[in-house]
Amino acid sequence: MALLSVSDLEVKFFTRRATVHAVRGVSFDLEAGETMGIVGESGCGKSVSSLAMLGILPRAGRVTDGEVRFGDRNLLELRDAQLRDVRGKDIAMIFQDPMTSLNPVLKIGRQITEVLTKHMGMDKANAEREAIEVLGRVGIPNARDRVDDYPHQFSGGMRQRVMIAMAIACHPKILIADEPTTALDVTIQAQILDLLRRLVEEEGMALILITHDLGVVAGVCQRTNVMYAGRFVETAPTHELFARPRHPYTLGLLKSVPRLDAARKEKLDPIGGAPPELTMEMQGCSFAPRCTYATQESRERTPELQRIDTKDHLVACWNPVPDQDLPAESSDEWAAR
Amino acid sequence: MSTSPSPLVAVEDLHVHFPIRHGIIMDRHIGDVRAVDGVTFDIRRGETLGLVGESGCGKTTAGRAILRLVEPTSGRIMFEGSDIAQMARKDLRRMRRRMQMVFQDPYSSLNPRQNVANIVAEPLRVHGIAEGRDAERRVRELLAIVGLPKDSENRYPHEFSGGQRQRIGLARSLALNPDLIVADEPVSALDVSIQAQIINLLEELQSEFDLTYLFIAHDLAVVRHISDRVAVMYLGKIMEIAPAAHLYERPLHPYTKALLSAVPIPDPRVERTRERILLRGDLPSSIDPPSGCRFHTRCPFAQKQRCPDEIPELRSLASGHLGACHYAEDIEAGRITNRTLDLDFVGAS
Repeated sequence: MALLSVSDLEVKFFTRRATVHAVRGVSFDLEAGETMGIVGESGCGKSVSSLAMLGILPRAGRVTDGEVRFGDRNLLELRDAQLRDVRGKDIAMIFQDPMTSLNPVLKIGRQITEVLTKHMGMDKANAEREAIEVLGRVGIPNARDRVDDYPHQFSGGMRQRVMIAMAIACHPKILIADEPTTALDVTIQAQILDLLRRLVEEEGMALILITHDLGVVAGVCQRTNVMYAGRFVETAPTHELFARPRHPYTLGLLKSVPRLDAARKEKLDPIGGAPPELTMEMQGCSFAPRCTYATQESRERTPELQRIDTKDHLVACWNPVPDQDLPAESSDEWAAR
Repeated sequence: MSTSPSPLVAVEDLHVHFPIRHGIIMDRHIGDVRAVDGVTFDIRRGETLGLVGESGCGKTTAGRAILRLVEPTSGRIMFEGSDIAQMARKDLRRMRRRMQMVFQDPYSSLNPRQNVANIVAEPLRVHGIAEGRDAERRVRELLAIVGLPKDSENRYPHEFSGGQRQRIGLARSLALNPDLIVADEPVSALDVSIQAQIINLLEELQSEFDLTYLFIAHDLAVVRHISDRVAVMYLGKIMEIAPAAHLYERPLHPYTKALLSAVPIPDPRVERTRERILLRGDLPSSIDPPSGCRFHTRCPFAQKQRCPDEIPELRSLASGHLGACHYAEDIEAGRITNRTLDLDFVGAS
């Protein structure tokens, strides 16, 4: 049985002006120890899905359908107090901007011991010892002294390490990382991704990594889901997804980003148009207006995720990308560097 | 520094320091943020020079100093033979017609209370180039050039998506037929599928109007795609400058090597096997930068000799390829190797 099983998750935001249908039926299973990526552009619903799973949607948001099964419980049916026990203990989450996720007026040691006393029932002395230990594990130098510092005394990369320390303090089974490196410089991003890879292995926890950066999932995740306009449009083992992207949107994303390891191309191949407004009810495939493979059927009937190629490669498309349009094999010269 | 006959812009030993003041009654000058600290480079006519580096390296300040949007502390900025750094206000104003800026944030760089026609026509008015009918005609022409729909004129910035707003900013910058456009992170606020549209547009405009670009960005893949030459900055200094293909295929400065190895590549096969150079710690402060080579505190190749106390000059390492590293040749020949980092202490400084 999967560690976490999400089915038909739907989220809507009710505002005075309009109803935004942000997540339109998301289903996936996460196995213990698995690293899974969710990729998509801003507004596709990737962050909202994970906030909904943990019951921390902004006020205007409601889960309108679906089930999030964790063990023998449906997280969406738990009362607040029960959910608080799961959150932070079994499932932890880290966000893009560590400065707004840490309490600026509490010493960071205190912010970590709080988690430990609350969820693990530790006494103060044990919690303090454990906090120093976990800060060391995420690579904070002189952890013993730094527990008395405030968040503003840390650099961006160090703050993200503190966030990660808080998240893993209770040895969660699942870590959800929402754009954990987007605010960081590239050399610091490399440090944090390296840390995440190492912790996932050491702790044996499952990771859901939410990002807009295809390069980040390529380096971290075993499995990748591509999200567009509130739905998963393709899901596959990461190497399979990048080698044989079958959804035209996935292919479009891969073709539109310039690559560091590729010689200059004459022109990039952008995806025309812009993503749809999520206030609309959509008929047919939501990508059809921007898709060069779209047919009458795409505009009329909404495609569901279906098996293609191998048993764990699913695509929601009536006209998957044919073999001859797949990207050429990348050069091996860079692989060696 | 360059052998090219006449660069459009020649920056020589540019310094931009921001004073730090302290005290209410006694206003004391207690130090400087040395944002740009001795930078020399050329921008050749018709080329795209990419300027890359991490946040706080001074790339934006350098770009702004060229347009004198910030006052240089010292150094020369020669624009076709006249020094912008010394120019009187009146002359500077005339010069500014020929150099324009495109900003990162298409939301805050457009006046929300002006319609698109006014935004694009403003440079024409300010410089007294066209008014009334003429201005209207020019605005329509510019909007067509950047690919905005005809009915855009009377609409306001908030009605447009990020990509379209960046097109408005481009139309405004083209209004005066400039020679040089300084583009500061012009695509980094945009979604990936939209980025490519704007990058293609920038390239089309360049060949159509013979533009010269200084393209400032942190995304090394985008910079490789768009640039003819690339300069890498670290803590206010240029570490390496070379033709784009050279720099990416054979980086000679350890910082460039580390930077390139840190960029995730959207290909799991490459990601699995490539070698990463992880840097220790964080960027030092530009108020009190490290002595000697500014990169020596984080450099995996740093030596005890010279690196901590002797500032490396930017020197020619290969044809058209300049680097500021004492040991570039030894590293390239494998005589000095990358110290293997103990992963547990990568975070330690």
